[in-house]
Amino acid sequence: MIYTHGKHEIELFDSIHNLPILRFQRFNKYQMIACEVGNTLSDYDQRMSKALQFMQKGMKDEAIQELENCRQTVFNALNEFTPSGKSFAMLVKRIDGKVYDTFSPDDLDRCLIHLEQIGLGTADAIAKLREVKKKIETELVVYYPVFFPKNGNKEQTILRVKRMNVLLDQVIENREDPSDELFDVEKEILENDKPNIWNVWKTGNMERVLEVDFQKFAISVMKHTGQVLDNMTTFTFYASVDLLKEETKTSKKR
Amino acid sequence: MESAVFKYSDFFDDDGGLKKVKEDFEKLGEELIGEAKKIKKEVSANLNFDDVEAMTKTEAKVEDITKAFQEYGTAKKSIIKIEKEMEDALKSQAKVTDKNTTSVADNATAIEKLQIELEQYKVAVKVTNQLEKQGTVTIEEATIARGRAKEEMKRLSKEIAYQTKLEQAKILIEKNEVKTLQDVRDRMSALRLVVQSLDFEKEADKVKAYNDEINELTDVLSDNSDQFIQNKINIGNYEESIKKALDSSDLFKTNITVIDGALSKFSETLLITSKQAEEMEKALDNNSSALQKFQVSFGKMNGALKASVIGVVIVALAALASMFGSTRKGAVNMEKVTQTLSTTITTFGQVAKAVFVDGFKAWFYAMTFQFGKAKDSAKKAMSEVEKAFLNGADAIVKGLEYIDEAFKIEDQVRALNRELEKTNGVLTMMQAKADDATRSLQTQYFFSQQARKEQEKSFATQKQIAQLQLEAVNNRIRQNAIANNQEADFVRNAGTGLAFAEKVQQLAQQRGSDLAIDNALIEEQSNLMIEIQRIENETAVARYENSKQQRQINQDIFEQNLDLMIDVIDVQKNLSEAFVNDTTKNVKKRIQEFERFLEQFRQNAEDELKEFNILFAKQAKSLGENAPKFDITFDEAGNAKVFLDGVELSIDQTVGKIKELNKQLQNAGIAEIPINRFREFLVELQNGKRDFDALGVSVANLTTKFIEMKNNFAVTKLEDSNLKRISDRIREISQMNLEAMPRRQRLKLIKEMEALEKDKENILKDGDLQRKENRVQAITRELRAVRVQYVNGELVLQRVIQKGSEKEVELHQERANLQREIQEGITEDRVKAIEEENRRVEEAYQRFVENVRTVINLVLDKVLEMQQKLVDQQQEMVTKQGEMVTKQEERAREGLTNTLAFEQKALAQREADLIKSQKKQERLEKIKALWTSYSSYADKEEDPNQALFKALRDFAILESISASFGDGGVVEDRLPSNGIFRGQSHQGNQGGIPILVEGREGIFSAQEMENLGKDNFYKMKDMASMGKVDSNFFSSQRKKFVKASPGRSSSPELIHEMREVKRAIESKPVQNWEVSKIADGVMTLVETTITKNKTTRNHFKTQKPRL
Repeated sequence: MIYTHGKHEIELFDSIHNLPILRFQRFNKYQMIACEVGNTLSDYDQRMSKALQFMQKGMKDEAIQELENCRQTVFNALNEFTPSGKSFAMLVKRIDGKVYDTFSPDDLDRCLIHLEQIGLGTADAIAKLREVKKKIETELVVYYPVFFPKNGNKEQTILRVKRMNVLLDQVIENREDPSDELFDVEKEILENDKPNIWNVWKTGNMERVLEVDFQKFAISVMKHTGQVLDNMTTFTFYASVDLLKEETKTSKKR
Repeated sequence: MESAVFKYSDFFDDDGGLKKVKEDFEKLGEELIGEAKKIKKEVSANLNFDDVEAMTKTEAKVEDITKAFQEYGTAKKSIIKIEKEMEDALKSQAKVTDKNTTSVADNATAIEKLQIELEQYKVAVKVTNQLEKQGTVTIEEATIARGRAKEEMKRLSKEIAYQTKLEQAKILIEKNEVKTLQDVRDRMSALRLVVQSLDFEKEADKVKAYNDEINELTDVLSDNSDQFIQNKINIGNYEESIKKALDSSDLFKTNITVIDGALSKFSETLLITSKQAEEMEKALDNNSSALQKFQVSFGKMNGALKASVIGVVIVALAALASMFGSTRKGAVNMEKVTQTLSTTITTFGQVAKAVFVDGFKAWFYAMTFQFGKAKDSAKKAMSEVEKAFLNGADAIVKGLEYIDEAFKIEDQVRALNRELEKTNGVLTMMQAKADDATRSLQTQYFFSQQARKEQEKSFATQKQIAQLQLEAVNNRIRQNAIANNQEADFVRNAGTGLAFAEKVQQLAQQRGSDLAIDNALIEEQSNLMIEIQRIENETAVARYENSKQQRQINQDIFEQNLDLMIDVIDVQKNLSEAFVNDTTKNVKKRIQEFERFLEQFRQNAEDELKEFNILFAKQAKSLGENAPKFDITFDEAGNAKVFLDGVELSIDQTVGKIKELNKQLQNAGIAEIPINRFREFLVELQNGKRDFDALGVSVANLTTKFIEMKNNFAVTKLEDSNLKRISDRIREISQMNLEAMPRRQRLKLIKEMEALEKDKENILKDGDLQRKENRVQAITRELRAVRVQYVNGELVLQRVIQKGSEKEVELHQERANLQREIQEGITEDRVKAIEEENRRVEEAYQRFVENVRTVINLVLDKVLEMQQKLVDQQQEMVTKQGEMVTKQEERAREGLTNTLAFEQKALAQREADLIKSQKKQERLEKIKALWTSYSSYADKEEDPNQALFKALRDFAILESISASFGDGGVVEDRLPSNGIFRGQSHQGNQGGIPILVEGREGIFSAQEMENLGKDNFYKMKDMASMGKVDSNFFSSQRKKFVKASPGRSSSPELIHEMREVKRAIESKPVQNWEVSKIADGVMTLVETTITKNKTTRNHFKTQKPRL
């Protein structure tokens, strides 16, 4: 889809039918970093707030991890590393005549600079990003509900509902002091929402999971399907995964 | 949610605000809880796990409400704290007030005690004197006793004075009214006095509170201090400050320019040095009391002074005398002097001269600060005056007696004034208590009565004071009159008191300017007379006001009692209604409760009217009037009649009647509030009547409904019992081992189960119908229910549900619907039963018919078979007979004896028999065909007659076709759909040959062809092919045909065919089959063959085939 910004044209990958799977994967990674680390003062506050919550519930290790991520937030802020911006750059195919067919971090930076030059600042980019992201998410939910359900974490939802009920009961029963039940459910919620490791030098970090492990997975899919990963769209990729899954099921039954 | 946090300042100082805030706060708490419940309901009802956005919104709501609730909790704690603080403060305040009130009362009691004690000492002194006179005690003893008593009396007087002052101070503090600076000063001194009387340890709080107030008042004073202090502070110059003080004081102002000027000069002269000023100040302070007295006298003298320059002397003299005398005695003497001088000045010129000379001397010396000389001159003047007195006429002496008397009276007045002040203090307290709305009305009433007593006492004292003052003035007038010697006779004969005063005033009017009595005294006397009149007026007004207050309290008590009674009856009414409407209670008791409360309501109405009557009696007594009286009666229908003094009131709430009622009440002198309350009473009464009527209807219906419920319950019980029986049996059966049972028993049980199921259905259906029936009966009872009513004074039975009411129509409709449903239910059952029976009969009939058909088929087959055999046998016999004939012919040809004739005859007979049998076989075939056709139609047609008709028609067609071509005819009249005729032999059973026709050909029968002959046939054919044949052709045959045949019928073809059939049937034997008996598988059939002249019956027996 081509969007116009003033006199300029920006072509975006805004559908799973044209978004290459590798771009989509990288796009997801930056989205996750934006959510779990971020680079703004608000993000910093969120990390600290979460760390405090972990500490209040006696979850020391998780609190430390959250503080680690908080440090990462500061690092991002100091280095002007904007995960949301990078995420948007991942979706840019072309600005006017300039095609962005590679998406190394430097390429993404160049793309962002280009966007700045044509007057599309980070805030505008993020607004646009939300719009495109919503479209892509909707498509994924529609086509691949098994991989992309509407609510990916039902257990967390149940816990949130439980917490709401505990809070409301406290009001309805006119109790002033918070109950043990509230403490327990909030702890359970936090246990269900432990922070990921984003420090690339630590084992089990998400950077590696999202980059290397996904590549492995994608290659495995390619092996089974005989397709070329670089040109494969997100739509086709998940269709392939779906197919493989079905075939595996069938063979198991046999 | 923001309102969960409060600013304390919003309500902390607000009287009653805290209560409101607390109420609002509690309401907020309830709202929060309500909101939380609402959200919880939303959470459980609308939560969609896939709608993450909606859940986030709900979460935000929950967070908001939790936060608000926490804030609410914090604020609640603060409010509780503030409330406690406020309660403590109020308690403390109440304690202080109580203490003050108690303290004032204690004071009054203490004073009374002291006075009693004082009186006792006075009595003791009198007794001592008497004892002394009687010689019971010695003079020394009496003196000692008197001395002690006087000491004690002195102490007591001092104590009484102090306590009185203290009491006044306390009353002043309690009044708490500060409007002017003077009030501030008075209050400060009162506070100081009270503080001094307090126990510093036990009453530390009070001491602190009072001291704080003193400090506050001091601040007020410092901001508003009087000019004197201000100047003293600001200027530091005594001379100036004193001058200003003197200027600002009325003390030395006389309105006489000369004197004012002299005094002004005097003050200036006085203030030469600060030392002198201090002395002057001190002197002024010391003599303040005497100066005040002087001021009073001076004021009284004012008028007289204006007339004479001697006044100047007297003023100076008086001022000096008081200044240096410094005692009460000096002041009294001075008064006597001035009074005497004022009246005797013309008579005793020498005295005036002496006074004038020495007075001026004294004045002069005083002004030049030669106080010693001034004093001597004054003394000289006084002694001159005294001399003049001594030398005066008896009149002077007598006049002085009058003056003495006047002073004595004034002493009494002073004592009475003190007493009056005390009485007024108690009166103020009593009035305050009587006006204290925080106390009970009875207490207010009590204090109002007490206040009245005190008020009476106060006015009596006031009047006494005024009368005494009048008498004092009278005495001065007497002295004045004697002094002038002109009115002496009048004085002697004018009586005393008010009568004297009246006469003096009359005299003054008569004499006018010739009156030789001091005008000021006349004026004063007149004023005192007015004062007495004023007191009498005020006494009357106060009495009225007091009785008005008591009436008001009585009215309040009345309203309170009335409100209480209304509240109590309202509460009881609600409880009673709740009981009557409580379906969990016993119905009989509910009805009893209704009747009980109805009675109580009426009793209460009577009691309420009694309250009116009590009020009227009290008010009337207070006003000295006749009291109106209410009465109430109830008729059997509960309608109230209210009477006022035996006259019935119009209590209908119509405009005209209300006006009339108001007029009746007004005429009876009833006040506005009782009228209003009476109106409320009437409204309550009528509302009660309305409610009772409604409740009465409900109670009336209650019995009906209860009967219905009981009947329904009985039905349900019966149902339950029957259903239980069925269920028990079904359970029993279901627990049996059916597989192990013989088939027959098993089938029996299955049938029983089916029957039980059917029973169950019937029980439920019967129950339902019975309940409907119960409801119909209940409706009928409800429609017929009546209750007692008064209409135009007549006792009538009125329907509870009135004719033409909406309810009546509803009930009728409901009953009609139910009756229809019941009828439909019954009809449905009947129809079902009939249908069931029909179905059963039909099935049995069908089975029977099937059986019969099968049997008949078999019978017919058998008959055909046998008949065929018979035909075959006869055929064989004919053949044999033919052979025999042939044999006999051969024998005949051979000339042998033969029985040819016999054999030919036998052959003919056998051929005839064969034909007969063949004919019979043919008929049987037809019967079989007819039967088959009928069976086929009988399956399709509901109406058996129709089946028979159709079968007969088909049969008739077949018969006619076969018959027509036997007789010949025109093909088109018999044309079959396919054009092929499959005729049968006209002579035997060999069957005809199929021919192909167009449909318009004609066919001659075999007989006709025989008659016609082939040649003729072909000739005719040739002739017919040549053109139209004339109608006269075959004229003789045609004529014969016309004679033999009936006229052409216009009937349809079928009728024609039927006629043909009829003919055919008539000419042929008719067979009929009837099943005479079917028993144990054997069927007997009777074949009846009827020809025109003969009936043949064949009986067949056959076994019934197994189905």
